[in-house]
Order: sequence, then C-alpha cells, then structure tokens
Amino acid sequence: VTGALFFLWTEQYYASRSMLLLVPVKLSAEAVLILVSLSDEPKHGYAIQQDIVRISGRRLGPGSLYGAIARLEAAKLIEALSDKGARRPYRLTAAGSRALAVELESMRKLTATGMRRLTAR
Amino acid sequence: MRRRALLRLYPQRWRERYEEEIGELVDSRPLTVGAVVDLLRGAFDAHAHPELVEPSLVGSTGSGQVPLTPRQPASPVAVVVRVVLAFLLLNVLGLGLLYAYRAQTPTVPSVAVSEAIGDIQAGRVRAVTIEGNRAKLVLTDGRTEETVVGGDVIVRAVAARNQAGPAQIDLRVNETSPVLGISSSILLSLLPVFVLLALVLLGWVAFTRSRRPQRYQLLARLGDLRDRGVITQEEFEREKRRVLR
Repeated sequence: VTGALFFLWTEQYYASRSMLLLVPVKLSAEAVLILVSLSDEPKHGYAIQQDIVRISGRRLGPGSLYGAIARLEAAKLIEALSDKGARRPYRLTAAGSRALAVELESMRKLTATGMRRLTAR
Repeated sequence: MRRRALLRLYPQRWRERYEEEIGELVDSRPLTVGAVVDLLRGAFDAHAHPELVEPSLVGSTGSGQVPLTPRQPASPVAVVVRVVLAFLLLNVLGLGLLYAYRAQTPTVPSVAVSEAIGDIQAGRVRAVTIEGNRAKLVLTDGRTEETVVGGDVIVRAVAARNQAGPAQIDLRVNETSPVLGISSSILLSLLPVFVLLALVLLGWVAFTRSRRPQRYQLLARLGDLRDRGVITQEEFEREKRRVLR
C-alpha cells in the first residue's frame, strides 16, 4: 500500500513537470540567450556559443547549450535547417519569435521597475 | 577522439541527433573540469528527458491525427486524499523508527544487582521473572525494575526470602534460546535500514515507471502510420509487440 501511495505521489510530480515542458510559459535564462542569438540570422551551435559570449559574457558549456537547444526544438521555438552534420544551423520559428518578444517585453518592464525603485531610494 | 568519450554517456537517440554538434563544441576548447561537469550534467538531463528527442513520446507531431492530451489536473478531492495519505505514510514510518529506537533502549529502569537483592531482602518485591541473564522485578508498589544477573544470585536471594518471611515472592524462570534473542534484536536494530532501503526501492521504481513512454499514444501513432501506408501491417505488429512488452 505504501508503495502504491508513493508511486502515485511521484507520478503526479513527473506528470506536472512534463506538462510544464510542453507548454513553456517560462523560458530559462539559457533559452532566452539562444533565442536572442538566433534573432538576427540562423546559426549553428558553435556560432551560438560565440555569439552568447559576445552579448552576455557567459560561455554556455556544450551540455547546457544543447540541453536548452533540445528543449527549444522540442517546443518548436527553434528548428534545424538541415538534417545532418556537425554544423547544423538553427533558426527561430514564428512561435519562437513571439515567445522571445513576450519574454523581452516582460524583462523590459522588470528592468524599468527595478531601475525606478533603485533611483527613488 | 578521446575527449568525445564523454558523449557516450548520452542516451542513444540523443547521440544520433546531437552527438556531432556537441562533439564540435567539445573539440573547440580545452576540456576543463567545468566542461566535464557540464557534460555530465547534460548527460544526466538527457537520460531524464528522453521525450526531448523522441517527440512521439509526448504526442503526435506529424499528422495531427493523434491529439496531444495533456494530463487532467488532479481534482481537489484527489489532492486532499493524497495529502492525507502522505501524512499517514509519514506517521507510519515515524512510528516504525520510534519502535526500532525503543527496542534499543530499555523502557524499564535498570538497577544494579546489589540494589535488586536489597529490594528482595527488604520485602519490597512481589514477583520476579528471569529470562536469560535478565531479571525483571515487580515491586509491591507496582513499579518494575530490571537487572542483569550473573549466575543464580537472584534465584537464591528469592529462595532465602521465601523461606524466611510470610510474604511470598512469585518466581518465574523463562528459558529463552539465546540465538533467538540475539537474532531478533539484530533484526530490530536493522529496521531503520530496511525502511530506508524500501524507500529507495520505491523511488527507483517510480522513477523508471515515470520514464516509460506513454505507450498508447505511441501505439495510436503507429496505427496512424500504418493507415497511411508508411509502414506495413507486419511492421506495425512487430512494433506493437515491442511497445507492449
């Protein structure tokens, strides 16, 4: 009985997590960086990594970069332009552009509020 | 390329899809400790999320004939029931641990043999039970105490007292097998370990179960492929057996 209860409990947890995965309401910091990097033109993994170093000073390791790319691809926010090869370029989909716009707008509001409150002190 | 050996930790499907690209990145820079940690974390993440490279696991992506069915959120009643059950479960586990702890520490106060004999000679003892090398004394005021006996000191003290005075002490000697006593105490002391092992086992089972693909969605998708002539009936049957195994 306790086994069944415990199973139900964790099953519920994993189900809610995979639902979050299907509906990415919140983009991770890495995901935002990748989307911004792809917002001007399609790039392959290495170019994305270099571009992110340029725009944010952060270097994403291969594991974190492709973890985020796989999620974005599964959520159809980005897509690969070719099937094979080590330098497969990715581009933003229409849904990806929308998600990025929403995210950037909310970041803009957050930044504005934060700056205003800091200066008012 | 030796540094690419780390990529073998990724699951097969993931490697088919991303290995070359990740390898390109790995080759582009010296392999630092940070990069190794990053890859290990990435591999763990990939194993935990096979659905990222296997879209059929989360629903149809091709024909759209198999609608994506997100799980219904649990009803409030179910949530309440789960919370109550979890609470009860924690209580049961807690009581189990408490019992194991109690078994280790005697609840009956332990006294020195001389004190016990003093009580017997003073007539403050109503009954004595001897089990193995322990003697349990029930006092006339209802309290109990325990002492560890060497030899038959207590038996002789009780006999002397019974001959001397009118108030008789009820003496019982229970022969216990020492093997049984030792093995049961070992089992009891291992109880917390068993509880923890059971929890780990349950967690493992739940984890592997949760990673098992949503097989009926997969079947529906296969059926869809067969209906459109992409795969033959024979291939469908083979895949079906594989999925349902």
